[in-house]
Amino acid sequence: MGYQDPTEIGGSAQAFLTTHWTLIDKIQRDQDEDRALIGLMLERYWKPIYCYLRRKGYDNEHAKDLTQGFLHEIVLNRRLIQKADQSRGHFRTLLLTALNRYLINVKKRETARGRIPPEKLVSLEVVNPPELSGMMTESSPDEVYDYMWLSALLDQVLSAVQASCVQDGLHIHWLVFEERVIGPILQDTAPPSLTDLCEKFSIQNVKKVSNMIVTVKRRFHAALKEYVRTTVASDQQAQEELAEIMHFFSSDAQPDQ
Amino acid sequence: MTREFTFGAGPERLKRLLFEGLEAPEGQEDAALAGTEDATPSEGQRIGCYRLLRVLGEGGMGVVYLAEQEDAIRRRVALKVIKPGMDSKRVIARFENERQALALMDHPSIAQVYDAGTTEAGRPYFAMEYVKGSPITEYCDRHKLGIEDRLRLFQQVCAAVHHAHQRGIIHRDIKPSNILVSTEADTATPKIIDFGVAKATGKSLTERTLYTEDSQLLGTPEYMSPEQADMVNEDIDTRSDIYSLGALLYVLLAGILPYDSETFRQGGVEHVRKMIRETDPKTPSTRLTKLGREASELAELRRMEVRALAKRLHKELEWIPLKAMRKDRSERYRSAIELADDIGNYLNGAPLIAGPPGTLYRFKKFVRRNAGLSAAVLAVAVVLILGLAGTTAMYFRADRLRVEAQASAEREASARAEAERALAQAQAVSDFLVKDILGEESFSEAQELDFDHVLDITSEKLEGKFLDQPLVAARILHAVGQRYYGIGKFELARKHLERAYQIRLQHLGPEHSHVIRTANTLCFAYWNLDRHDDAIRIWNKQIDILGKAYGETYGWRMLFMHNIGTVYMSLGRRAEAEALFDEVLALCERSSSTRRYFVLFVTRYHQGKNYLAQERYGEAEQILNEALEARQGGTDSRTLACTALLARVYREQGQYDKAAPLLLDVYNKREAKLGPKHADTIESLKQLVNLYESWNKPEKASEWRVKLLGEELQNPNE
Repeated sequence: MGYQDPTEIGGSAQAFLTTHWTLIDKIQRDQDEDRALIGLMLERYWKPIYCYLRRKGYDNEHAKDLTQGFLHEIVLNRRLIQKADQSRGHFRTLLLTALNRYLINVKKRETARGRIPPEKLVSLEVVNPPELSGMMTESSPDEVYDYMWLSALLDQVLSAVQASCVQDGLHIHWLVFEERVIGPILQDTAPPSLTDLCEKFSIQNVKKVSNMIVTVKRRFHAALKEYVRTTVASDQQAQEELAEIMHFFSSDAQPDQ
Repeated sequence: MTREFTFGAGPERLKRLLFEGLEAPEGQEDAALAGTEDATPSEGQRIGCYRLLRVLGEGGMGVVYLAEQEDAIRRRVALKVIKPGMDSKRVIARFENERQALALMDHPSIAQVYDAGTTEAGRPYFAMEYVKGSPITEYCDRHKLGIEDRLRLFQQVCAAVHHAHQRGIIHRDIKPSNILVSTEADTATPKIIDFGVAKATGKSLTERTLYTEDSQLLGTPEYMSPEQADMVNEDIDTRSDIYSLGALLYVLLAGILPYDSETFRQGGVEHVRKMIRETDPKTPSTRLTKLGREASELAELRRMEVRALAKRLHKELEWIPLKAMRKDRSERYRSAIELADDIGNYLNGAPLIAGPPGTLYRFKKFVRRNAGLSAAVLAVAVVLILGLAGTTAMYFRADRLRVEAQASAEREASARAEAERALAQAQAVSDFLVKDILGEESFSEAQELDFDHVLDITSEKLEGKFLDQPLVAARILHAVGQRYYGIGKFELARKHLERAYQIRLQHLGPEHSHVIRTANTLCFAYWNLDRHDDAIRIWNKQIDILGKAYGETYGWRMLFMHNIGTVYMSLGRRAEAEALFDEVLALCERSSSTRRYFVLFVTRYHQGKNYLAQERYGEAEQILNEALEARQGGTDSRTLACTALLARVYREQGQYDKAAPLLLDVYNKREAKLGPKHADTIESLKQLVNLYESWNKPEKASEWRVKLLGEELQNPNE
C-alpha cells in the first residue's frame, strides 16, 4: 500500500491500522482510501473518545472537533499512534494514550477545520450526543471511556449481526433473538417464554424457536470475536482484551439508570 | 448504520450482554435464560438401558437418579442427567476422549463411570457406580470423627486422586459432595465420584457461577483453584486438584470454609474471581478463635474443646492445607501423594514438608520423636544436631558411648533395669531439652540457632533440675562445659565441668570413662585459666587411679602424663617435661592400648618442641622425623604442625633447602584444606617469609610477603 513509508517504524500500531484496512474492503470504496479509513475509525471509536472528552470538561462542539481532529491525525500522520506504541496494551488503550498526547499537542484555538485540508476532512455527525448521565458524571474520564468503548462495541456488533441476519433472510430469527435475549438483558425484564414466542411469530414448536435463537447467538459470538480481533495484533491478545473488558467496572459499579 | 442498542443501559447490563456473546453458543439455549420448558425426566422413565427409580439429588450441573441397568448387566447405577444449556455432542465427545483413561482407573476410592449417552431430549447423561454414602464432611461430623480419623480418611482420598493423576485424569471439581463415604463392611471408605464429568461438561467460572436475574451466585466456587477462576487461563493441571484437596482439608479440620461465604458471594462473579486469585485464606486457628459460639459446636464435632482444637491446628497442622492452597501452583505440593505423605509426617511427628526452613524446627521434631533413644545416643544427637563440629574427642566419645550402650544391652542380669534406667534418663533429657531449652521464648521465632545463646540458656535452665537424676545433669553439664571450652569461654567451661566431674566422680567412681573425659577437659580449662596446679593435681590423681585400676600402660594414663609434660613445657620446666615425655615414650613401646599411636605422636611432637627450645637440633630432627614417619601424607592439623616444626628445626640449623619444601607443602595443604584466610594458613605464609629472609633470598621473600600482605589486608584481624 502506498501509505506505508518504509522508513517508518511501524510496529504493532502499523498492524492495528493494517487490520483495520481489511475492513475497508467491506465498506464502499472511496477514491481516497485514507478517507475511508478515517470514516471507519470515526464510526467505531467516536463515542468513547467524544464522551471521554466531554467528561474531561470540553463542551459538545469542542469535543466533536477534537474527536474529528484526533482521528484524522491518527490516520493521516500516524505519529501519534507510533509514539503511543511504546506502551504495552491493545488498541483501546493505545488510542487513549495517543489521544492524551494529542490533547497536549493541539493548540487551544486551532480547529479541525483550520488544520485539516478540506478535501480530507470527514465530517463527524454526532446524532443524539450521548447525554452525560448521572452515572457518567460520577465516574472518572477513564471509566467513561471504557464504558462507552464497551457500549459502542456492543452496538456495532449487534448492528452487524442484525444486518447479516436480514441479508441472509433470517429477519425473524433476529427478532426472536432480540426479544428473548437482548431486550430482557438490557431492559432488566423477564424474557418471554418460548411458547409465547412461538405464538407471536407463528413458529411451529419450541424446539424450532430454540434453534433459531442459537443460530443468531452463534453469529453474535463470531461477530464479537472478530470485532475484538481487529483491534489487537494476535489471537492471544484478543483473549486478553476480552478478559480485560470484562474486568471493567468493579463489582460495586454504579446502579443502572 | 449503527443502531444504539445499549443506549441507557448501565455497566452491569452491558457486561451481561457481553457474557452472553462470549459463552459457547452451540447446542441448546442457556439454562439461565430458559424457562422450564424442557421436562426433567421423572421416576419410572427409561433413559437408554436404564430405568429411573428415584431422585438421589440435585446439583448445579443436573439431577442424579438411582437407576436400574436393564441389559446384559443388571445392576444399580447412579445416573446423572445434565441440565439443558450444553451441547450434548460436545459433552459426549469430550467424555469419549477421556473414556479410555477412565477405564484404566481401578481404585477402591474412585467411583467408576460406566457409560455416557444422550436422552431423547438431547441432554447428556452419565451412568456411574452407585455409591451409598454421605459427603465426606457430613460423614465426619455425623460420626464426630477426631482429627486423626479425619486425616486418615483424607489420606485415602489423596491416594485415589493420585491414582487418577497418574493416568492423566484431572478431576477439576473436587468438593465434599463429590466425595462420598460409604460404610460397607464396617470400614469407612471414601469414594470420589464424577471423575471425567467436570472436564466433559467443561465448566468455566461463568458457567459454574451462573448469573441469574437477580445476581445470585450459584455453584460452589470455594474449592475452585485460582487458575480455574481465571477465565483466560485454559491451562489446568493436576495441581488444580491439589488446591481443591487443600480447601477440603481445611474444611475437614476446622469446619469452616477457607473464605467466609458471606464476603465471598456478595460481590458477584468478578469479586469471587478476584478473591480466589488474590486473597490468601486466613489460618483456621485464627478464624476459629474469632467465631464465638459456632466454634464450640465445630470443636465438639471433633470431640474437642475450642482452645484445644485451635492449639492443635495452630502451627504445623494448618500449614498443610495452606500449602496445598498456595496461589502460585509451583509452591503447592507436587502431587496428591506428597500431600498424603505430609499428613503422615504430621501423624508420625516427623518434620513437615510444609514446615519452615531452618534447623530449629527440624531439631524440635527430632527430639520429640526420639524420646525413647538411649540417653547416650540422644546426648550425642543433641550435640550433632546443634551443628557442633566434632573434634577427635567427640567422635571418640560417640564410639565409646555406642559401645557402652551395646554392652549394657547384652548384660544378662541387669539388662532390663539398665534399659529402663536409660529410658528414664533419655526421657528426662528429652523433656528438659524440649520443655526448658526449646520452650524458651527467645527461640520461638528464630529460624536458625545462635549457638552461644542456646548454650547460655541451657546452662541457666539446668539450675535446680535433675536433683534426683544427677547423672543426667552431669551428662548435660559435661556437654555444655565441653562446648564452652570449644568456644574459648574457659571460666564457664570450668564451672560446668567441675560440677560434672564431681557428680560423676561421686556416682561412677574415678575409673569410669565418663569421669576420665570430664577430668581431661576440666584440666585443660584450668590450664587455659593459668590454674596450672589444679590441672596437674587432677591429672596426677587420675594417673594414680588409672594406673592402679588398669595398669601403667593404659592409654588415658599415658596421655595424662603427656599432658602434664606440656604444662611443664609452657612453664619453662623443660627438664621435668623431658623426663615425663621419655617415660611416656617408654611406656608406649610396651603398651597394647589402641591409643598408643596417638600418644606416641603427640609426645614425640612435644618432645621435639622441647628439644628445639633448648637448641638441641639433632635430637629434635630425629624425634620429629620419627613422629612423621607414621603420618606420611597426612593433612590433619597435627601432622602439618609437626612438619612445620621440623622445617623450623632445619631453618635454625641453616638448612634452608630442607626447610623450604616442607614449609611449602604445609602451606599448600593448609590453603587447600582451610582456605587462604585461615589463621594457620597465614601462619604458614609468615613462616615462608621468614625463611626466605633468613635464607637471604629477598625476591622470594618479597613474593611471599606480597601474598601475606594481600591476605592480611583482607583480613585485618590477623
